[in-house]
Amino acid sequence: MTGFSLCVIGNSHAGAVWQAWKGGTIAARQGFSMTVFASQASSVEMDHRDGSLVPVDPAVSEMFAFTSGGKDRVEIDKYDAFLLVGLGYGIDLARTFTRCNVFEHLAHGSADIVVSHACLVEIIRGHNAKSAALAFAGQVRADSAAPILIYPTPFRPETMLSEENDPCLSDQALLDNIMPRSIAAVSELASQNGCEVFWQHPETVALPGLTKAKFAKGAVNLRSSIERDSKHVNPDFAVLSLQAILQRLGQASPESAPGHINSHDIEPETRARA
Amino acid sequence: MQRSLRLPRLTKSPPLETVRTQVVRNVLRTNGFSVIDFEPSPHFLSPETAKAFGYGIYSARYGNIYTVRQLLQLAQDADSGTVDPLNIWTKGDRFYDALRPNIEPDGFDSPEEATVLREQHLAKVKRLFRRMNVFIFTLGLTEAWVDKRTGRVFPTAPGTIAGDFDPGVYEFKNFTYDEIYEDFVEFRDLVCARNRDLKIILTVSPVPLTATATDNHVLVATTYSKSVLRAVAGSLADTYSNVDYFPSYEMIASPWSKGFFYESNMREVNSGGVAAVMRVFFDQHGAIETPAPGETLSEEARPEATSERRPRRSRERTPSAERPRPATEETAGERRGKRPNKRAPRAERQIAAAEGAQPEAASERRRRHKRVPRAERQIAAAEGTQPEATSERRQRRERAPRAERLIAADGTQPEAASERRRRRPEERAPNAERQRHERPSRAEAKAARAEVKATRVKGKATQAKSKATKSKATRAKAKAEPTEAKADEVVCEDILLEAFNT
Repeated sequence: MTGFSLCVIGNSHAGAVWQAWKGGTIAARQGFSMTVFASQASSVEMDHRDGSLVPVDPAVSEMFAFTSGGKDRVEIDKYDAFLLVGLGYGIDLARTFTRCNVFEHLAHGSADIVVSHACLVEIIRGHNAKSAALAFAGQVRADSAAPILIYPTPFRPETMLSEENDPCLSDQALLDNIMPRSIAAVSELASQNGCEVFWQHPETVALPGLTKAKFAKGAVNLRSSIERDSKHVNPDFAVLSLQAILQRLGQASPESAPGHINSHDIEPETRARA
Repeated sequence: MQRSLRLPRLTKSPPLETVRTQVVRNVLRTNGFSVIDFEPSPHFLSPETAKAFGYGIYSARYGNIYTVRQLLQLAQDADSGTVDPLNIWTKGDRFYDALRPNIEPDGFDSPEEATVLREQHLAKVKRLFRRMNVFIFTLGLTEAWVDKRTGRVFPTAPGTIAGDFDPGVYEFKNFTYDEIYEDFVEFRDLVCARNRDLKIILTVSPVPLTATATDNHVLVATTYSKSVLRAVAGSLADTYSNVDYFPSYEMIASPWSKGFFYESNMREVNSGGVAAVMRVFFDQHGAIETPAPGETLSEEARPEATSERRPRRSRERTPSAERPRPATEETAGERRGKRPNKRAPRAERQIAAAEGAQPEAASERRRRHKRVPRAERQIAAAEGTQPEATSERRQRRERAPRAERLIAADGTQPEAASERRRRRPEERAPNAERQRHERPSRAEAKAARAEVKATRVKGKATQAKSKATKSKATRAKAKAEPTEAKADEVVCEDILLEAFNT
């Protein structure tokens, strides 16, 4: 193989990926290169013109240039694959539960909007359908048939449980019911949009929908390294995911044996279980 | 109309949504009525998914309420907070609220979930019934399925969406005038005891039954149902000062409208029908012409509101020619000229705005309708094809002789005489030979005529046979599977149940 260019587009969650790649612990094939376009802006919006994705906000262009080594736009035909990191794609139960509840919540107090589990899964799917990740995927797909992989926003760290004070977030039976269906729905949505989701490594999952606390230590969010973060993860987490992604793309070094399973091998819901 | 209730004139409308079933609500909102929604769709559900889960259709998530007994039941349950575990139906490993089985497309995960969500729903309905100012209820059906053990009525037959039909447990009920009247009086008393200023508007669904569980023909059953419901509505309106009857049924279903307001299936009311009804509704009950102070309605929401209001105010003060006019301001004529929908009536434009579609100009519709006979348009609409204009058909037919057209009834396109002549080498052959080809002998001609006749007779016989077989089979099927017929009857009926609030 002569060379392979992976384009990473992401929001603050791409910080961990960027750091993981720069850390040099990921073994890739010779000729493999990765260009990271990341911005901490909460809504990265891009125009699609002349075969390129051009940030609407100049601040985002600056961040893109900073993380990519000088490129302020994504020239689509220059890459062999795309990795969309975060960008509103993923399952954040804590956030969903701030907008609606399930009947299990009523055991712990009153709730105004109570929806069925099936409806909750549809709400999660609907949230992802409006994500920037799928918007970019559509823009990329208009010009390229290259694989588009999605590295979803990591599940919230388990340390968040003490902050959120929502007993349902640690209700194993509820999570076992909701999470596999949500993961399946969100994976299917990606597939319908020509993308493939790489859910986080089982090793990183504390409970369905929650990331182990150790992966939140030293979390990276593009701006700084934080000791305690309720949303982001550290580069160790990203290393595990990146190894799986390189393996999927056939770009993992033969010497490395990451032991990660990608979503082609088994059902996504199985993978997400700890 | 002799009498109309004074409806409150209300606040600005929320943004329009484009779901077809929300058209009436949207038109109401566009005209300034505040349509209550006590169980709004959660964020991020697409309009289609929200509708599938019963959100955004009515003022709460109660699904379709077809009978007055069902309405009374809802009010009583809401008042007491009662949830009867017998009303949880199952289908496979899923659980359904039998009193609103359509609101969860795949059912609930557990009976507990179904029960708790029903309790939540009833609490919302209780609040709704106490807070609404105006309640519009469309009387839909007289027929229903009843649980013999509890007397509960269901919106669908057991065993259709979920549950099992057990004749020992469920029975068919066709409500009478007296029963419906009494049920409504009980409902009114119950709700008005806690909401004294409530005004009620009754309508009767113009949608005919597609099937009946009685032994009568569906036309007979439809006439019974509509007559009884219409009589009850009229009687209630005559008796109670806070109850009014709005004659949407008459507008849509009366012979004077010649079926014009129905879709091609002759059941659903088309957008023109909705527009006509809403126009009369607003004429009678008053639409809002000006938004509340400090609030504005978007042009999209009210396509004509601004253009109607603004000139009216100006004209009263100064003649048009003398009025100072900013360079950017258009004249009313210019504005009208720009509007592609200038020929469509206002109510239709509102419907079209609610649907996100461009209304068809009346002249265009007339032109289109002239070309193709109505029956053919209906068939084409049912098949999803474009109807062929009469002139086109005539032109096409002229090309081939009738006998050939009949023979071509096997589905092939009859060949035009000129084409046949051009194709056949015999055309260039000597006259005698050509005559031999073109003019069949008497015996041959006779045989051809006989064949055509036989084909016609055979066709007629086949048609008659198929008709007889079909009706026999339908009758047999209806007899063998009573629940299926009943399911159609209850599932397809339309209703409108809305509540307004100041």
